[in-house]
Amino acid sequence: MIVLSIPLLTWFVIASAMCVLVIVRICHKNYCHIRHDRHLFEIGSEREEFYIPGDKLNPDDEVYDCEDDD
Amino acid sequence: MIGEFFQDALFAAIAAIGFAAISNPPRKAYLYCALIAAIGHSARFLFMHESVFSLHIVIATFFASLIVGLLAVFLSPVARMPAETCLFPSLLPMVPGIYAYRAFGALVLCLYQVQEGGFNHYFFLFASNGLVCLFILLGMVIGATTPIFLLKNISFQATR
Amino acid sequence: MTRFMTARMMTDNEIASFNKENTIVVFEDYYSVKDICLFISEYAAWLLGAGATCIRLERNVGRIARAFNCDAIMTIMPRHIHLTVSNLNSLDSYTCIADIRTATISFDINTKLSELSWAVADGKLDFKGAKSVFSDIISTPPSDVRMVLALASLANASFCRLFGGDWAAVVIVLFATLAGYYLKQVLCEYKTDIRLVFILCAFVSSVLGATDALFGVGSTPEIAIGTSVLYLVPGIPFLNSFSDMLAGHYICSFSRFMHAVILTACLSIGLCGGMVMMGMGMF
Repeated sequence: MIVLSIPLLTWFVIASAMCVLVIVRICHKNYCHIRHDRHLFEIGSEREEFYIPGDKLNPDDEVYDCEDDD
Repeated sequence: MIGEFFQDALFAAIAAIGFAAISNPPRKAYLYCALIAAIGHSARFLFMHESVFSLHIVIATFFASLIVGLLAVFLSPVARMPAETCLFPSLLPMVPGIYAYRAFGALVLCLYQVQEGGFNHYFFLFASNGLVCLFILLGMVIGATTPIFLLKNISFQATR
Repeated sequence: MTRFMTARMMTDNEIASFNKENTIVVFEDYYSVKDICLFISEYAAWLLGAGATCIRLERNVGRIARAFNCDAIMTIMPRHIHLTVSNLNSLDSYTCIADIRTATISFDINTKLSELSWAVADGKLDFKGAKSVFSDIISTPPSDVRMVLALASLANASFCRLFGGDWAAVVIVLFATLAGYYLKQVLCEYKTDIRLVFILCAFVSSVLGATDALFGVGSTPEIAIGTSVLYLVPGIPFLNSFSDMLAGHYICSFSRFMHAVILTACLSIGLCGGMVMMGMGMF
């Protein structure tokens, strides 16, 4: 019977942590690869949901003309 | 002994390729590094072997590095690379890594000693490992760069 | 009378004298001392970052400057280059300080930059050409990470054999290095502090390297644990440091030596931690 000692425990913790790291990174890489192709769920912006014809397409284009305020 | 000699050369070549890979060499450099390192490391093995020269590690490393330096200078124009590109990765298998970290380990163990005897023992280990490490490095670099400086015209025009 | 002529590498004084003579100078490819200095400082910063020795840096920079009819003098500091370029025909000079560019040693970039300096010196490239070749060189990608991982692990395993380890120790060191070097690549990807990376990788490699002692697989457990961390030894900084010392660049030599010593100390801390946890002694 193997007695669980500190060296053995450390060895198992480190070895399993490394295995988990490798597996997680491989899965993450593959998962990210698929995600670029199709999105099942996505959070849309407010502009995309409440677009009314006539709205400016690019909000950064808005120019405040100070002369009109007078 | 001949078997050990060739084994030393083979494993030194693999070690040189691997450690060279860490420092991003040009692809064509791998072959030259492996060749030079194999010759250099096996030369050191011969210099240190009891039945051949049985030199101290510092002296043996100096002469082996001299060989490595000469080879690197003469091969660098053939490979069209600066001499360091062949030279430094080929020297890596001879870098005294074990001496370096043992010196630090002994230094840490010094702190844990309460008795003078124990402290002296670990301080001795720290000093001896540290000094051997420093002098191996010094001997290596002097040995390897002497050919570069003596044969300046070849070594600094290799990439021309 | 108005004369038209093209100018190449003219100094401001010469331009002034031409203007007095009522000549309109058409600048075909005029570049000032400032342009040359900025280019050379960038070149030097990359060459130093790629791990070139100080003597190579001085030679390559001097060679390029002479090709552009200039003189270059520099101070090489651990993280900066202080460069003054002066035109040989006039009193024009320009000084700038550049940060070193890349933190990873690359002999590939080193070789290509040396080739560039010779191409400029031999007149194969003009200033514009040199600049475009330079920007190509600095975008050289590093070696494939998976290949480096495999080669470094094989190298460390063969190192174990060189130090007299048996085949069980060789296999254990191979896996210990694979794990440790993989961790190093992952941590470097996240831009973790290099000292922390060394401590963690040395710890992981030494714990895995102690497999031999823990399960009694082979007959040389102390060689397995001792060689499992050797891939972390900063060999190139040590060699560069001593090479600079012989060339008389003591400040640069000392700073490179300190850098290598600190990395070795971090390696030892990780290794000692691993050995303590595994109940082994270093001596």
